[in-house]
Amino acid sequence: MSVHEVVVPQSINENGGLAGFRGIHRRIWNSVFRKPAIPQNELEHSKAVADNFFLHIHSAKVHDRTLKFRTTLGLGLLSFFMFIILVVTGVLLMFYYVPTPAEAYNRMLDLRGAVFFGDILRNLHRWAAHAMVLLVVLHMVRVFLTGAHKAPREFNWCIGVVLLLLTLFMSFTGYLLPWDQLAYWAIVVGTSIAGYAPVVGKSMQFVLLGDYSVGGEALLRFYVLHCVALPAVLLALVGAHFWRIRKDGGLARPHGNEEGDSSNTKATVSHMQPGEAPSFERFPARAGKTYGLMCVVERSSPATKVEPECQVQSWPAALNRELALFVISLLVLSIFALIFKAPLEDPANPLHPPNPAKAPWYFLGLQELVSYDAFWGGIGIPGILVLLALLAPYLEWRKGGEGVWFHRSRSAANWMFLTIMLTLGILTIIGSLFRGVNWQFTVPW
Amino acid sequence: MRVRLILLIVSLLQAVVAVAVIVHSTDETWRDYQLEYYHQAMGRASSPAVKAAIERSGLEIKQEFLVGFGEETRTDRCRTCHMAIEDPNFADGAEPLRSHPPIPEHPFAEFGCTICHEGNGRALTEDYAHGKDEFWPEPLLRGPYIEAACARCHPEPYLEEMPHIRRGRELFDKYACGGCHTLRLISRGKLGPDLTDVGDRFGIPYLDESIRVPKANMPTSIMPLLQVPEQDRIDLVVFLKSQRGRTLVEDPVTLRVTSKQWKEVTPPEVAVSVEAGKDAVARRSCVACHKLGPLDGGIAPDLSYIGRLRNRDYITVHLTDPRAHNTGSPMPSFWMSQSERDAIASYLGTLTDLTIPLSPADQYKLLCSRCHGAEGKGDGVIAEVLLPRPRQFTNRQYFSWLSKGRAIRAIRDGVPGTAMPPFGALLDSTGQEAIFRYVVSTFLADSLRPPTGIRQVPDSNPQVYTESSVASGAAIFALRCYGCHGRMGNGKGPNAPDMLPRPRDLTSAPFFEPISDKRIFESITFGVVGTGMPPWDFLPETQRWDLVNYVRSLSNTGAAAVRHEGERSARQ
Repeated sequence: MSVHEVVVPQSINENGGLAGFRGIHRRIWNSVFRKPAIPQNELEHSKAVADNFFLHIHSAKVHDRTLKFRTTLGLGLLSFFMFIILVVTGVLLMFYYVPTPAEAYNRMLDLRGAVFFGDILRNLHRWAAHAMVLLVVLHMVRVFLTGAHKAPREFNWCIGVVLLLLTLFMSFTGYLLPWDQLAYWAIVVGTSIAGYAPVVGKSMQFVLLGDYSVGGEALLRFYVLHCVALPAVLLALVGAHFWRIRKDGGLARPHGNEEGDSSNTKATVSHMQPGEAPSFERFPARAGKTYGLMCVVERSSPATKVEPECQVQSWPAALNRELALFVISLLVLSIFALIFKAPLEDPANPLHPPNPAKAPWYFLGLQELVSYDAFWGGIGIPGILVLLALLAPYLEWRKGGEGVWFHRSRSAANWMFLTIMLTLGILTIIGSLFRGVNWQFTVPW
Repeated sequence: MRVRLILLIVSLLQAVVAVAVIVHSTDETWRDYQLEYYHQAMGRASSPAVKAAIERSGLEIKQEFLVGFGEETRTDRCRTCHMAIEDPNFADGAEPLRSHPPIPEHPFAEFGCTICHEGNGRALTEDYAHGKDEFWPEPLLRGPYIEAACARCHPEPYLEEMPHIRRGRELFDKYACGGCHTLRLISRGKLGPDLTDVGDRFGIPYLDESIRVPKANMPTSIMPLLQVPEQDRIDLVVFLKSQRGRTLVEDPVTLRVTSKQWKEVTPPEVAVSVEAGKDAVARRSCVACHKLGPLDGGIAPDLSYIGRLRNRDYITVHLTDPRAHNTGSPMPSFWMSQSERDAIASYLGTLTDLTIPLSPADQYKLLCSRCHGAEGKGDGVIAEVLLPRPRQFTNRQYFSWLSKGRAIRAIRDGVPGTAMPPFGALLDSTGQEAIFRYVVSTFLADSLRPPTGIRQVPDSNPQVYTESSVASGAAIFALRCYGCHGRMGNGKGPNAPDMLPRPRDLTSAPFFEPISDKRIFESITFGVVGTGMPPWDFLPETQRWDLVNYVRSLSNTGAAAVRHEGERSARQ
């Protein structure tokens, strides 16, 4: 009995020897992609998006308005890209980090001096974290000013508010990890703000710190929160956030032709034949209409060769834009990380508080408020603001203005929102630049 | 198409930046050093075998893993650049390619480099390896300072090869550092920071600066500005840098036992005799601060004729608790037995050798200028450490208001609670008068005017000294006075450092005991002209008397001390 007879399956044997291995590379390739790697026609474009695990978060087709930069300013996507960059650099940093008071600071010095690409990693992570906080806030501002939080997207807005809080908490927990004076005292200040909450404040602070003061236990807790617990929750909610965008009918869009820009009231499709004026509305009023893979429309389209209602294929239009935005954000961050070093100060010293001891910049508005009144600044006003933010889409129940920047019917809401955000911004600027020793007013120049 | 073009452009830019990042993050100068080493070594090679060996060697990171130094494994990569340290051919080479001077019994493979030189053993670029980056705790030790690292394994008694640290140890005693600072198993001072692990916490520049300009790192430091010559300072810093809490050859248990035993030792008794006292004064390095004959520390009062000014009791109490007579005294309380204090007091009591010059100008120079300054500006050599500060004779406002009687009394009886001694023991009433006249004519150009207007002040306190009166005084004090006098009333409020004369220490019993309620009331009502004390005459009179009672309670002089100023001279 020969070896061949035992090992080689009958079918291959019939074709003669090892000939069956011919074309195995194609079989492997096809098992991975199952489709042509580069889709050639619109059907394949649609399938490429729908059948790919990483791309199927997109619909096969998107409204061309969605892709216009001024519709979203790309802010939500940029926030997500920051998150991806933070995850990648963060995982790499975790390989070098030890969350103990004795080692943490030494590891920062090692990252600077003895780890290849250590300082670049740290710079990227630090600046991406700051950028993410900023971008998430700006994204929130964009969504509100375009009325995109209104029905039927109320709940997605609420998920967004939670994501903002999670982003702040992520950044805050990460702030402690370098264990230098900046980190240590920012967390001391930040957690004592939490301690002002009535009834549960002190217990909350204790649970957060694992001690009555910031020490080894707090470092470990912040580390686990920062590297495991919070990113997991954040990622899950980001998924839900994206999913709800599609389930809520894509990006907010104006009803009918109410969009302010008159050039957009009718579809202008360049390759239409003369005389074939489209008779459909650019934004049909039908609610809840979603599109299947094959772009089936519910009524016959008057114009052949014209996408129904200005839809474009996600592949390549949306994907190209997303990729470009990602590379741009990576480019800007890399340049920033090359030029500006992530700050590092003296090792943490619980006996020598710097004067003034400041929280991270995004909490300096709160710290400024705390300097007037501990409870109202630390708990009262922020609590009310978060509550207001969560309730905003439910309070603003009247329809109209969705998807339009500064819509006239929403000017009262917009001005209220802008006033609050600007006040917070001004307080943050005062707290970060205009406060010196003993929290006295100083000028930065 | 436009989007694709943008994508293409930013991708190319990103590629460029990625290259920049790689170039930025990988400084491989060590390769050049290794090439240079092999190149030079080839030229100096003696035999073909050596040449062949060099031929075979490639460029690589060289590292030593070192264990057994009481900490976790050390990794030294210093020899990646310093290729020639074991190569005798490079004795005249330029750094980094230079032979290490012979150092027996310290093979590099076993000890590495950073155990002696410090720096960052793992780093591969000069800045980081030599610990030049900000906050690296152990930058490279150079020159004499490297002896501080020797002491890690070679503690006292120091080897002969460590001359600087030996001398630094002697200077620590010579400058009486131990009077204020604790150093485990060496000194017990409590006034200044503990120096047991000072070398572990601070670098050379910080230590050097702390001796040179004590206030540089802490504006509230009361450490005297010691006149330390540069060589002494270097040696002291070497010694201090070696103080890391524990050397590598001591085990924690033994150290704990010896420290405990050391703490339990009582100060040695000495014979109560003048000779023993003289010996103790020399041993304790009193002249590190005080002046005694030709020796002068330039920080504390002159002891040359102290026997004429202060009696034995005063000196003994002062040695036991320097703050007993003067709450602002910066003198440390030394660890010494009662017999030693008595012996020192006996010896100081014999220091009466003083020829008083005839002219008031010379008298001023001899007796007054050490504190009040040659020009009467209150800036004598030792003025800086005195609290209260010596009076500034050029302060016209103050002296335009001070009565002559009080000035003469201050000269004659001294000012209790301050460093001003009673010069009545040296000068008779004409002498006192003469020196007063000299001060007025020299520094105030005879412009002393009697105070204008008559101050109406009741002779005695109508507000009975009761708990409620003191409490109401405390409430007013907390509102009006703490900014300068401090919450404790010790004259160290937040505004105090900016004020000269300093706000009065209201807790000083010696100062307030001989002072009448009337004078306290007057100072509160009218302020003290020429000082930062403003008039509080707008407060209701009862409130001012409450404040007087509160000052009484702060200084613990209570109701019993209510006496008229005139009675003081009668009592003495």
